[in-house]
Amino acid sequence: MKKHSFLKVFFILIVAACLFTAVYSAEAVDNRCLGDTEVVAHIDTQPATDSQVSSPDESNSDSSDGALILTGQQSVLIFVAVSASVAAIAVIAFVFKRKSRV
Amino acid sequence: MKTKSILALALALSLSAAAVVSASAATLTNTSPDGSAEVTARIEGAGPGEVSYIITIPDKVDFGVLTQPSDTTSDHFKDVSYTVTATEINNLPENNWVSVRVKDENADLENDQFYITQTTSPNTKLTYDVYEGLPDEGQAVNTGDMSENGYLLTAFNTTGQKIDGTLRLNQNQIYGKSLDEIAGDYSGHMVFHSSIITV
Repeated sequence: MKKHSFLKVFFILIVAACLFTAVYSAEAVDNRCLGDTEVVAHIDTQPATDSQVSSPDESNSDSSDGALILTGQQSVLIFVAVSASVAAIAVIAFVFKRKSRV
Repeated sequence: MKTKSILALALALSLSAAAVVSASAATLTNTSPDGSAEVTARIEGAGPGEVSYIITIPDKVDFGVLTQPSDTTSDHFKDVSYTVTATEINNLPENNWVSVRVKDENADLENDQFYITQTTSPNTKLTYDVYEGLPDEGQAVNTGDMSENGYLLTAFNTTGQKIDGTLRLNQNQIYGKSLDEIAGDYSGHMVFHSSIITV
């Protein structure tokens, strides 16, 4: 009985985690008007010399305050990875549960 | 208990799948000419022989880190490329084209240029130009007259056609300004509109 309660809580937590990541990812990607393209740029507080050329890729990870900035695609990749991990854990737990019954 | 577990697992997996479907590249279609979906959309309700199309626009274009020039005796352009693709065009009659127009999200007839705005105070604005191809190959599209739906960017009539355009920002705009004031993130939006035109 104790085991069953634990599994119940475990599965509820998995569903909650999936729901949270789904909502978070949708917001990260869809937080803009429909039919548009976001155009972004960044200016550093430190003066840059003319010889320094920064690529767009570099700017994605650049941040003056050290905050992590994710693009929509990066957010999606993180979400997919988290979801896959959660699903894998759920499957393993399910298999273990069945085996323990047998 | 077993049924509940299976249901919980199924729900978790379906939630994962549903969220993944909501994320990818933006598209314009004949049924939603101003709209976009994060996945390449399928046109539903288009019967056999009916015109349908999917135009794919970029999700994001990044100028990267802008550099304050030491002089303005010459231009200090920062160019970034973008692509607009006719992912799918079906049953388009002869002499018909899918036109794609573009404008700034806040553009009106009095102020029709493209801007990115500092996301923090004092909300400095920087202008940029939109080119259909390379800047050396022709004038910026925003040098012409803007209609209600924006500047004419391009027109497609066959699946697979695309343009490799350029956004150009002249960094002379930030020459001599206080870095404390202008430093930070900048953001703006280009709004696309598509429609079928007859030539």
